[in-house]
Amino acid sequence: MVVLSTHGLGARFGSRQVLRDVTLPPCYGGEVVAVIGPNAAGKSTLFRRLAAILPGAGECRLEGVRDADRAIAYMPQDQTASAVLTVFESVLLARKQVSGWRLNRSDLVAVERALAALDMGDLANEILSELSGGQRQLVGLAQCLVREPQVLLLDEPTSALDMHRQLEAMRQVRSLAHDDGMLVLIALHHLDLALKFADKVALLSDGTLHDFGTAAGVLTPENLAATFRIRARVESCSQGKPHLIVDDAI
Amino acid sequence: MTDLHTEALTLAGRHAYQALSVRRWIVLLVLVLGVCLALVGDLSTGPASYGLGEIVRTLVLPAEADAQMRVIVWSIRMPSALMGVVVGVALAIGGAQMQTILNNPLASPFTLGISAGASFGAALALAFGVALVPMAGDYIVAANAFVVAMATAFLIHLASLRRGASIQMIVLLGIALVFSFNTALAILQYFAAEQAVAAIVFWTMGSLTKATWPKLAITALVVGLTLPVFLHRRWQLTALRLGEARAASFGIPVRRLRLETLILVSLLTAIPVAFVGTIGFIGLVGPHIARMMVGEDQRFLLPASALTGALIMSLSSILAKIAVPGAVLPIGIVTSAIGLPVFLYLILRNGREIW
Repeated sequence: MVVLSTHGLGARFGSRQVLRDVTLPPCYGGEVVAVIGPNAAGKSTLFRRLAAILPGAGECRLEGVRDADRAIAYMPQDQTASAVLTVFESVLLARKQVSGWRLNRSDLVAVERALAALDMGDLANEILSELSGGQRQLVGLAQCLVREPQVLLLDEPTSALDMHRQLEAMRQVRSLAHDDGMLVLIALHHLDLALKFADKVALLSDGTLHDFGTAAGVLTPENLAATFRIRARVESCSQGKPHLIVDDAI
Repeated sequence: MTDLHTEALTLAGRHAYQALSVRRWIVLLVLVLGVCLALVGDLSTGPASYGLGEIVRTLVLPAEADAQMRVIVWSIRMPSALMGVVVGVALAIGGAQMQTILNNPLASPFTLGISAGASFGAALALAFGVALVPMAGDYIVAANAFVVAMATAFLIHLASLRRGASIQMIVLLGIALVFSFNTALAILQYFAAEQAVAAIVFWTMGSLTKATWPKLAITALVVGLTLPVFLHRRWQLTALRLGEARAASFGIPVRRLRLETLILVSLLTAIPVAFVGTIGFIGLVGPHIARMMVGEDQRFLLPASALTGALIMSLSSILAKIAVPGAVLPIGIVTSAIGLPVFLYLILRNGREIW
């Protein structure tokens, strides 16, 4: 089983320290870990540090890895693209970064599988630049899946999706963790989704790790007031499910 | 039912992709054929009038052809016709990769000031004998052109690395460089001797008549060395078109890839310009026509750009020889005359179907 942890992770842009001493407790394959926090809390920077795209202080440890080259797949927030590539070609491109020089039948089959897993078969021949924001996010997700990673880093993959697709996407993400054993770290703005789908929650604020634990343990009125500057509480609805109720901004 | 439906759709996706690939191979084959025909056409055209059959016979059986014909075909027309093909290949590939690494549809050696820089470097040598490379000997003009062209390419690269550097900024910088070099060139021409001014003007128009076998060999060598590198990195280079963030997320070292590609592209575009002068728009128009035919996948885009560039150059060479009876126009004039309307079309057209 893959295990990810960090020790003293940091990053700076010029003179500005954007991530400070983030030490994540071990996160295990099979878990969905939601990374939440207000704007500029350092969520995307943390993901870029974990994906080894951004240099900086600290250490990211990964144990139980089968193939180091394809262990982590990262889906960035920015999914704009002007390229005249079909969805099939775009996903194949992601695959070819880790599967050798020559194009094989197994590459094409892997692309088919990734598209089918996200129910995107009908988009295969569409041009990427002509898709909606939500559809591009699905392509981004397929580009991660096609690399057959053990750790998925998804930076706000649901921000452009409608409510139905948000829930569908989150269900798929949870299935990737619970059924396929992947470790999924997912940055979310929608706290209700974190509450419903995450096994653990990492709360970032001002570039530091403010709290880490179960959703119910982290999404407390005190934490939400201190980081998001909102008056909010988690309550059970008539069906016994937890919901976040936001009363006001502070 | 849903699963079957999904499977059918994805299969359609794979089959559609394979069908697309077959179509692209056919386009490449047609382009190869077109270049071969244009090359023979170019060899058949010139002040001395020979039939196509005679030309082909001299090409296939040179020993049986008469001496004068052999000299004209093999020593005069062949180097310049092949130089046209190789220069077309080099400029078009250079343009395609500039557009890729700068993520800019208007990037090309001509529009970003690299050709203008080369002209300025060449003019320094032609007007005042200034050698930017010591001991360049007979190649002083080409060496100067090469040095200034490379320096210009690096300036553009440094600008593109600045935080917040936008596509518009790079294009504007290119325009500023074109104007700056043209102004500097005008100053040089003002102070230069009349004979030197004539040489500068002829050089800046671009001409294949300057082609020789050694120059052709050097240009072909640069193409032969750089093209395999690009083809080897085809998946990474294509992924750059998905944007920097996404390419980096695939584990591609974007900055290093850009820098290395730019060095190769600078070589690829500076060498031909140094040898045959300014040849406009091939590096801009060639890749765009290729992209319209085969898409962004560099496995197809690179050869298609190369072949399109070669085809345009060969056809322009023919046109340059037949447009004005009794005279051979500098080929740069012809490529600009063809390229300018396409350039305007690219700027003014609506929609983004090819970029």
